[in-house]
Amino acid sequence: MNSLALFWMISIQLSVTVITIYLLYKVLSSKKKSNDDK
Amino acid sequence: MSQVKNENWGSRIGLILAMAGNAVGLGNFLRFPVQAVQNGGGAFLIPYLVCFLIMGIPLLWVEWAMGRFGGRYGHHSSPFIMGAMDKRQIWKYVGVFGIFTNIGVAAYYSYIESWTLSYSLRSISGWFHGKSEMEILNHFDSYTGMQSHFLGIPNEALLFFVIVILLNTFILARGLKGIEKMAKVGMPLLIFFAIFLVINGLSNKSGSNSAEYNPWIGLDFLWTPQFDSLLSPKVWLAAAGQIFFTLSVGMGTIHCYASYMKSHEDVALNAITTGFTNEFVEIVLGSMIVVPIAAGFLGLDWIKEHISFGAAFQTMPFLFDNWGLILGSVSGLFWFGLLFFAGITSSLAMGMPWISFLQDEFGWKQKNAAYTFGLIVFLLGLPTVLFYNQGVFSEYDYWAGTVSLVIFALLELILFSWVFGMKRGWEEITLGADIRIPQFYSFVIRYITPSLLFFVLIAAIITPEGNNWLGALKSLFNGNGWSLDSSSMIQQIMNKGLHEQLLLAKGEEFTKIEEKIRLINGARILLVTVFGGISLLVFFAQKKHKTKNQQNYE
Repeated sequence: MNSLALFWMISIQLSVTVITIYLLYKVLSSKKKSNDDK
Repeated sequence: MSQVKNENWGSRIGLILAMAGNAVGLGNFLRFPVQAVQNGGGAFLIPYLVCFLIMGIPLLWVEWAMGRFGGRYGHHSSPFIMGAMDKRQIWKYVGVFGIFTNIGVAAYYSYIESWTLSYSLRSISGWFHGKSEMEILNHFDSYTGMQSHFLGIPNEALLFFVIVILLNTFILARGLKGIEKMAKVGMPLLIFFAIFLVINGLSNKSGSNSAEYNPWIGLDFLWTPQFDSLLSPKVWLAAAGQIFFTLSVGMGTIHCYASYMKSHEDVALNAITTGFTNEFVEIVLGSMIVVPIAAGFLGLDWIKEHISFGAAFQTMPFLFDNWGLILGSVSGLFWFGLLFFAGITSSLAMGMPWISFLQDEFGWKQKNAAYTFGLIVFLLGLPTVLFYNQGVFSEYDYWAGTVSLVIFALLELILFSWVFGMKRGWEEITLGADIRIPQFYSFVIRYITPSLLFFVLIAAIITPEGNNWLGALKSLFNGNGWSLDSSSMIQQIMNKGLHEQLLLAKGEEFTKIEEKIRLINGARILLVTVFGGISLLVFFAQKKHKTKNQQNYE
């Protein structure tokens, strides 16, 4: 695999993965707040 | 106003998974890699991500906020959610799109879903083992041509279509709890199956298991950015279209799901999380299965010429079989299993707007409303099953699953940011927000997103010949006019492509094309009838509310 394609693939896939995990973490960590609303 | 219901999602993660399940569909694994391959490889990701930021995310926020707003007044279907935002009756009829598209899409989508179920069972039973590529291709033709049998039962396509509709109806009859449970099981399984296939596909070296090439050449081809493609309007339109369809916006399903949230529950973080979860499945997993596996066995030339939606069924079972009976069967089960879960979590979402509409406006019970959904989808879907090869399926996909979505999204944006008002709209989006949304998104929602959608719609109406925009513009400025492609909406309405074929055809071929035109026109009449029928129900529901309000006043 050429280095430009590899760099491009890893940087985009890693960014999307990290952001998704961060957002899911934020949702799960605010679970307590959501339960308190009930 | 209808009676305010107290039904809510059981948990926040259940809502996120149900919404993500709605967005994640067959297109994440089948449409995205094809679009990327055909539109600049790795460079396609640039317009794709730009469109995600300025069209996808804003539309998600708008639809979530509209849904939660309507839910506050006891409305869970687009016609009355939109009616709650502005008193003018027209919006209720615009909202009809939010039920119509779901029924229209569910009718043919359930059919593809049924293929995945049948192919899963055939894979795990080892039926594909030892079959040649041609035999597997022929099986697909005989399946869609209503000639295949399953365990001696004839009409396999119809059998599985009925099973899938019954399954959807059964889960929908259980309401939000059933959908939430399905999403909580289906989404993690889908991700697990996909990871398994990615690892298996990429670890298959050239020379092993009949693989002629290294699968990484597929990724190399898919991810090498061809930056010159960024100058082509076609690539930008393809990216906008992909973002639009992958997020399941413009359908009314998000309105419906969000209407069951608590009145002050977060919209901002929830919406963006489901958007990114969908992108994770599409960019990270969706791009890593079909292309590298197919490239490993069939080479890049095959990818360039043959990669398409149908390859998932026509070619993949043959490729998996190269891994041996056990691994091949398990991989087949996982591949069609992940497509099945991607499909069912989306088709369930398509059932809810109709069910909620009957519950809210006519006081129907969940179960009875679910049964009517199953019946309508069966009746409307039957022509796609019986006349798949005559273009009925594609006709439904074009009008109900493509054109209607763009029109509806554009109109709902106008309602939200211009009629309801951006100030109130922004307050709705940020109410109870767990994250801070940059203020410039207010500008994006008001101006940029509708403009982009407008361009996508216009581009679909007047697609130039060969999708060559620069050439068409040059020709226009040189006074040579604008020549339309047969895929443009205008030519589609006129059945231009088919009429051209008719001119050249003779004998049996002529009769076949004539029949195809009749069936396609019939499919259009059916879809228009469904739209008219729902509009009539909205009219009666509206009348019922008026009478009720007058009685209360007296």
